[in-house]
Amino acid sequence: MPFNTPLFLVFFIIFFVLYNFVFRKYVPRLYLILVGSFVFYAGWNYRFILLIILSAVVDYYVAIAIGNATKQSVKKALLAISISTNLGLLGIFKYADFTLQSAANFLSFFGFQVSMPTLGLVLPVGISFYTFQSMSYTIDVYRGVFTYRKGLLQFTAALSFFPQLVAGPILRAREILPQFETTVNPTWASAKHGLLLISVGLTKKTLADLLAAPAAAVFDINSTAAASLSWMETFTGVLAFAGQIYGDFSGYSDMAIGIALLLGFNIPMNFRLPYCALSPVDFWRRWHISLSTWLRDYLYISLGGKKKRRYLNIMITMVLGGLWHGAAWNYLAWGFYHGCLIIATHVFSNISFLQNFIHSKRLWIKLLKWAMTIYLMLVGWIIFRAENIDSAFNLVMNLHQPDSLPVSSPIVWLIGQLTIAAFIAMHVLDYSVIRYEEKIESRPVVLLVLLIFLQFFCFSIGTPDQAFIYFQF
Amino acid sequence: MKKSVALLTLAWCGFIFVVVTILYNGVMTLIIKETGLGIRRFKQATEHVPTIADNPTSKKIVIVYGSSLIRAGFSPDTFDSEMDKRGFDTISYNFGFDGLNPEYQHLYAKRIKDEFQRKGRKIDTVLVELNPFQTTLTRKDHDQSMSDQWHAIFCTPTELWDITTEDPQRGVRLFSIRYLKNGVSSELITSALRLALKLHDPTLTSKDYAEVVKQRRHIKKHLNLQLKIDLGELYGNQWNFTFRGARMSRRYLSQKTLNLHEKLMNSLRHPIRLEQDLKKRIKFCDIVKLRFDDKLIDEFIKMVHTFQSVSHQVEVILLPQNHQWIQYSLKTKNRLNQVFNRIVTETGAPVKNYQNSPEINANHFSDTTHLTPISGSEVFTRLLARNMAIQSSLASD
Repeated sequence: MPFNTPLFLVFFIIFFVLYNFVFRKYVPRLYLILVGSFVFYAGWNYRFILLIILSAVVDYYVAIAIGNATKQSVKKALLAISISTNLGLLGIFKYADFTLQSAANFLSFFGFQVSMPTLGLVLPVGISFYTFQSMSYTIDVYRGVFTYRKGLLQFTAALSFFPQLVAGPILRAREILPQFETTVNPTWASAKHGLLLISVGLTKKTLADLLAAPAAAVFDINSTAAASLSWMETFTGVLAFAGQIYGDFSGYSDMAIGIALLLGFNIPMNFRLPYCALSPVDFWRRWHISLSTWLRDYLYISLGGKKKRRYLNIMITMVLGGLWHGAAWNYLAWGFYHGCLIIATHVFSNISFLQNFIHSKRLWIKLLKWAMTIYLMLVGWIIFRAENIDSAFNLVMNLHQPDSLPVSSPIVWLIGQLTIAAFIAMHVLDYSVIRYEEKIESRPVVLLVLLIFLQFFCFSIGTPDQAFIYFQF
Repeated sequence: MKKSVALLTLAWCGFIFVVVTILYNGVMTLIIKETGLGIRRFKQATEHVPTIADNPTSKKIVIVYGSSLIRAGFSPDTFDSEMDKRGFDTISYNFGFDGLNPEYQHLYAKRIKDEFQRKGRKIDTVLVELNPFQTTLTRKDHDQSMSDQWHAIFCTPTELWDITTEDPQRGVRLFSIRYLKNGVSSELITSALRLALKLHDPTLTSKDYAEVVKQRRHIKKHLNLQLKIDLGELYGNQWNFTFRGARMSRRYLSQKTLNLHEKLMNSLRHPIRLEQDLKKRIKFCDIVKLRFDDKLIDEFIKMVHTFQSVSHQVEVILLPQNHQWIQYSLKTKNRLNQVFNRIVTETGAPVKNYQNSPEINANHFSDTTHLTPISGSEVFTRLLARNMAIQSSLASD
């Protein structure tokens, strides 16, 4: 039941009315959230609700046990139970077949032909999100930065809270659990902000769907066809994918935050104009913030952070971050690529004669840094999205051969211009929300006209059957 | 949430929803009026089906049902007058629609059947066109995105409800397209925009062809003005009841209009345009190799059964082929013959193949597939009427 479907609208109206006018007391509301979230999730596959319950029950009781344990060794063992349960679920459903297949390929490389069995399991939607969220709770309790909470209902309702259940943002227990201790009534101001975010998110998703076709024209072809594409076609396709994945995911996050706001919950921002970043490190401060900070806090710091083996820790974090997106070599390569970029950024930032360049406030230097960063990100998306290594190589080569600029194909130019326009439109929307949110929301007529305009756009155009990209992760 | 804030939120959402729905319906009504958007013809035809079923005529009702090839290539006026000359009193209708593969054609066929059954009446003859390039795997792939659009407007509320119980997400979408969006899905708008993009012809950079296109636009403009004068109130209808589904009829047109029309058809037959048309048909329909989709053939057979349940006689026809541009290999011919055999075996309906009619030549086409709406359609329709009259005479003997 994706947010951009009429069925979700029907579901949410019913839920909203029940939440505000029927279930007005705390415990009934928790039950409503829990049942509503399970109904929402059952839209994909009701059987996998059991996995959410399993993850919640294990982490709930493990956290209590950690909190009550006095010996460090016991706490460690309990934490291991929580992590192995969550990672075990992820491993079985997401990585088992990939690992078995990779092992078979590895052995065949040395001449051993092994036929590995495959599990062929369906990937439960949202498993990468809620397992990470659940783990953060036990790790925080283990580290002593968060006190365990009592109330399994409260914990399960928070973990399965439908706005963020299937595609994040990945919330920390310390961000969401306190909000579930009481159900706070939002102000009209936050409701208005919620409506604005929902409309902006829906518009970005619509634009992302429109960009799917030019992106597919470049990526969903074989490597020979990819090699014959011109520079302009390749650039348009890659930019379209960059826009598609951004609009799709950030649009979903905006809608999730907006829906939560309408119910009185605050979910932190997940994107902050990532394509305006001035360096790869800056990009990761703006892109999928809930995942990058999760990886920083729970993986990078656990590995030792910058105190020891900093670059190795960065590389491990980024490679595993890449793998988080899916069990495939391209995600691993994408993580490795970003690991290299971040390490290179740190190395360059320590070179003395580059200091002026790095810290310069001049506009043209900022523009140069931005251009370099977006170029590196586009190359990264080729690795991420290409069907195979040959296609990725051909597309990267095409991107560096502007001599093949087609002057005889106005349609390519037109699609290129439309892609750039959609890309800019998404950023204008985001910038407007970040910069002028209060001004817009303080003028009811302006807000109402903007909401009508955005909703009309989404109502009229698009291919709503396009699934959200991050659901597959 | 305080009740007042919740109420205010609901009021805002309701207001936005109502305004957006009204705006959307208003804009779509205007767009459909101006461009047809591929659905105006259905809407107009659907409005007239009850009248056709209800008409207390003694004439034999003949429905010619199929794709845009029928829409352009069958002239009810010519058919009825040819049949009349041979002593048969018929009233024929052109039910040819653009952009529908047999799956969607079948949905609409069921609505025609329902209407006739409701009136307790049978159609005398239905000629169902088998358009080979609409039943290919490639074509099905390209039509997939429009599935919701056609289901939303062709299904009955009961059928929609059945879909909803099986797949609530899709069902609610279909209901919303049908009842909130006046039968116009966002996919339809998007595909129309994509088509407009595709029509942004790359060969326009060739100066010579650009000049041809410019002249063609000029002729088209003049032709439209002439048509407005000749047809008066009848101008602009996409499914014209007076012309029984055709968009125009020779007897209403002045010589000046006919000359302009012929001039336009000549311009449309420019080799560059036809070459592009062929490429497009190969890419989106697999028109030369014809690798058929079994499920679409199943749907076609079901459609024939649907018409058989409400008609005295059903025949399957194939329209003439533009051999200057499209030639089948032996393999393709074999594939096509297999399909014919399946249809005959499973439905008992005869298949009449007009693809190789010697009376038709390349000048009877406006592109690689469609007959010209006046001269081409008349030649084919006369041929159809002659064969049908012979067959009817034989039957009565």
